Amino acid sequence: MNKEKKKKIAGYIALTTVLVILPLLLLSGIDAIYTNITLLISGKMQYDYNILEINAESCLEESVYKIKKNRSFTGTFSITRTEWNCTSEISDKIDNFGFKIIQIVAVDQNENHVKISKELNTNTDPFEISNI
Amino acid sequence: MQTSILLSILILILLPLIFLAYKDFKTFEVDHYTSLILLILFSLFNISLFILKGNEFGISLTEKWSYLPYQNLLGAVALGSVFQLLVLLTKEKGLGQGDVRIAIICGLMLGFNNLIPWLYITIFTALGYGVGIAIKRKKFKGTKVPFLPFMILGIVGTVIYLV
Repeated sequence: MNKEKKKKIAGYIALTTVLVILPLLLLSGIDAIYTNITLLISGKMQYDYNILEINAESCLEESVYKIKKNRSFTGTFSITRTEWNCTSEISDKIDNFGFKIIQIVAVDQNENHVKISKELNTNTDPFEISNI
Repeated sequence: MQTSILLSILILILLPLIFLAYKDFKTFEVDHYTSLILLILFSLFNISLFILKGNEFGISLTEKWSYLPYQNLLGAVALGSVFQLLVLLTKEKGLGQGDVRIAIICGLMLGFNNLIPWLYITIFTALGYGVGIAIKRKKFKGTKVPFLPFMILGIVGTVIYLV
């Protein structure tokens, strides 16, 4: 009888224990949801910023294209799309003939800002572009 | 093909667990030998894979589920520690010693990453059953719930979610 008793071990949980575990479980669940939402938001923000950077690059390409068509081109132009817009300002570099300064500001609907400043040398073929 | 192999292995593993759950449901006790054999087999399998293949080794079972010995051992230690602590704190009145053994097996089967869904299924189904019993008996205090059937249900639910 004693031997038989030793072979078996208790396998139950008290309802009180379940009720104690429950709030801890719910708290951990809420914490996990909160952490994942934060991760999701930061991931979306990073994605939006990367997309805006690509769009700002296309704005830069458009600026260089305008200069290629007309080497004396200076001024400001904008590209407006439903989700983003960019403004490009092209000016001549003082005391450096054939050098242009291109400044681009791209903004998306979430108020992300990307600024690009470049120096374009139109004296060479192809043009040389560098950061300033 | 892979899913059918997985299901066959799972049914083979589940058979002794279902037997344990049935016995627990009827007697509120865990069969010593069956649970010990399962615990030793799972521990040896995971420990040998961990030692031989390293901590980054894993067997991809489904798209969402990889059998990672390192994660499984971590899950077993975490779950075993928490459950053992509950047993010690309540002097085995709140949780049975046999449940610790089965919890370790669950940890070794599912891995650390899948413990949260397992715990949710287990606790909520046990709570539902416990409340039902308590209402029937018209007595909340001292109501005991056979925990093993719900732990096995937790495994089945988690595996269905992962497949």
